Amino acid sequence: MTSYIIRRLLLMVPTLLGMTFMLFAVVRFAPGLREAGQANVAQGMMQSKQAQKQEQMLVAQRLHLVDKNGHPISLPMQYLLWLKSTCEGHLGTSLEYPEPVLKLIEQRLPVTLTINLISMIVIYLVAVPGGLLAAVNRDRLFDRGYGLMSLALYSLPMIWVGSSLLGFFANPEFFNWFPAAGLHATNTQSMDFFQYIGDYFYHITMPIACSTYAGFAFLSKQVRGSILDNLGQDYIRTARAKGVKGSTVMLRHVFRNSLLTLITLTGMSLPGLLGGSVIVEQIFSIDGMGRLAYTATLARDLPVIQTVALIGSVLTLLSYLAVDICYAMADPRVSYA
Amino acid sequence: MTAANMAVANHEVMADGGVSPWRRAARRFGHNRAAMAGLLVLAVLVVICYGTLPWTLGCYARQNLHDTLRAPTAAHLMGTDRLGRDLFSRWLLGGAISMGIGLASAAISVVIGVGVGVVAGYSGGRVDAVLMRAVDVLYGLPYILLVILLRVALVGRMTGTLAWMGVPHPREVAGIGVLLIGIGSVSWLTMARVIRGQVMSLRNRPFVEAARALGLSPGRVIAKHILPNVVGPIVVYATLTVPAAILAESFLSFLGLGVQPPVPTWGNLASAGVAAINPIHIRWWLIFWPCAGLTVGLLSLNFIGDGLRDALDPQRD
Repeated sequence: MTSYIIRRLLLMVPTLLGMTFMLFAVVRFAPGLREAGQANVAQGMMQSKQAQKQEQMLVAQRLHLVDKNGHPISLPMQYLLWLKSTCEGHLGTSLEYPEPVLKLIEQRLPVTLTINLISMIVIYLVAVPGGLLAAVNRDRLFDRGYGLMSLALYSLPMIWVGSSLLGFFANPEFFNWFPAAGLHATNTQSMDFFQYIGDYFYHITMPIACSTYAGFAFLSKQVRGSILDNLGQDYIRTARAKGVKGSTVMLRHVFRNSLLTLITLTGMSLPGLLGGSVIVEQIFSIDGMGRLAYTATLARDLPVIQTVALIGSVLTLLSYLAVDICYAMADPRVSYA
Repeated sequence: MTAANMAVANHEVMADGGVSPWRRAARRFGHNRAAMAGLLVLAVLVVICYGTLPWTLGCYARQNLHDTLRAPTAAHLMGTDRLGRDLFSRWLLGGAISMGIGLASAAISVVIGVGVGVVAGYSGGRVDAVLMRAVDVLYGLPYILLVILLRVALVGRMTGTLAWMGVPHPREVAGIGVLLIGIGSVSWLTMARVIRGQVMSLRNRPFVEAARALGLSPGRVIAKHILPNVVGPIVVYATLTVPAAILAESFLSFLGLGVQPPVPTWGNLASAGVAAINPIHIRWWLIFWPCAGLTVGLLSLNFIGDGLRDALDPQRD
């Protein structure tokens, strides 16, 4: 097992190199990015021409665009230098905020992760049993009703749902149940730990509602389909024929096999956990990863863009690995060799 | 499935044993009430949005500053916006553009996705590995990043080219075109993965091997023996791409990256409506009509896609 994981991790290295190369190419060849990246440092500051020039030079050096003497560096060399400093853990400093990229991500990641994890759990808790029941009651009222409902929810535009939630549940004219924006009340200083946690969850209730409602349809459809596939298999008929209890057949034989589909789907959605939804974060004014990536791209904040995208790529690869390992654990037919 | 059900199913298989799979799929689709309702509603939307194009194209941007922010009346069926433009005509044109964006994105994702998927799945080996890693990278890149970069890179050039070619309204057309490329460049990924999987499982089936053994060129094997067998998934995923693209446009409009006003889409009308919300005046029509259009359109498209998936699922037989 350990040697399998180590081998897979080693195999990831060339893929990761390819990914960094593509990332570099996409970011560097987009016109305006480099120049804008340099220019927005000096913007709005009362500086002499000389100081501005110096500042730009420093930024260019930090981004590995020019060397110490101000001579431009060739693109392949830029790539290697970027790779080197990234491997050493120097992810750079944001051009937009006077802070290291890592610190920015450190601030924003917990929020996005909390919201996405809770949303994911809620979606699984509803969609998996829902899909299972729909498959068992195929073409009956529950199947039809649940299918229509989840598809209808999926079709509602998130902008509408988000702004309606705000308009009806965070509005003194209707129900002033939830806060309209932000993550904390203004008086967090005077709260004890539990009050603080309570306040936090109170603030993220509506964002979570907004990021879950559309997720049921896809997952339950897949679960339903996979269970229907398995229900038609010979070994299920055999199990039934030899008198195994219905619930045991469902859990041990059908669901166990559908677990493989679930593992794949979960693995595919893992990278999204850190990505964060720009829309939800924008509607509810939450400073998360989605908004960070969005504002960084608008501001051409090169270090932030590169880091966020790099984290996304690494995570994608890691979740493939996680899927394969889970597969091997869930399915005895898959071997590590 | 109970014994009685099985018997019925067997009987049905025997009863229409001579019917082609396509005919059977069409029949199954026809029995799906939600999908048929979706088809009907979509047809109505298409007819009213595209049928009124000659009228709406003439007046969608006409402002009347004496008549701003009016609630719906007989003269303005859906009210007017803050520049006194008639929301009804903007809604109709917006629907036409939104649905057009959905269709065009689906077309792009079919062309690229099927192309990449078939090549990767059929060649296997190194070609497959390279193409699929490229797909992985694009999945890993933040979607918004791609869209913004494409805008930065292309809008100016495309406007210039279109103007040079003598296309009317070059800036508006270029905006929509770049948006399409942005949405299309992401939406083909799922299609490529699905088609690759299908092609890989088809490649080693006896009939494909037989075709190869007979000396058919790879192109011919793909065109005559592989593609006809993956039409089902292509149709299903293309149908599901349409609503996804319409939704993506509405998200991008909300972020200010979509089609730029005064050209209307359901998405940017909706986000303009959201922006117009304030605690003092609730101008419900500004947000209700575009969002209702989006919801109804997406709902019917999703029902159709879902119905197609059920109808074309070979395991249903």
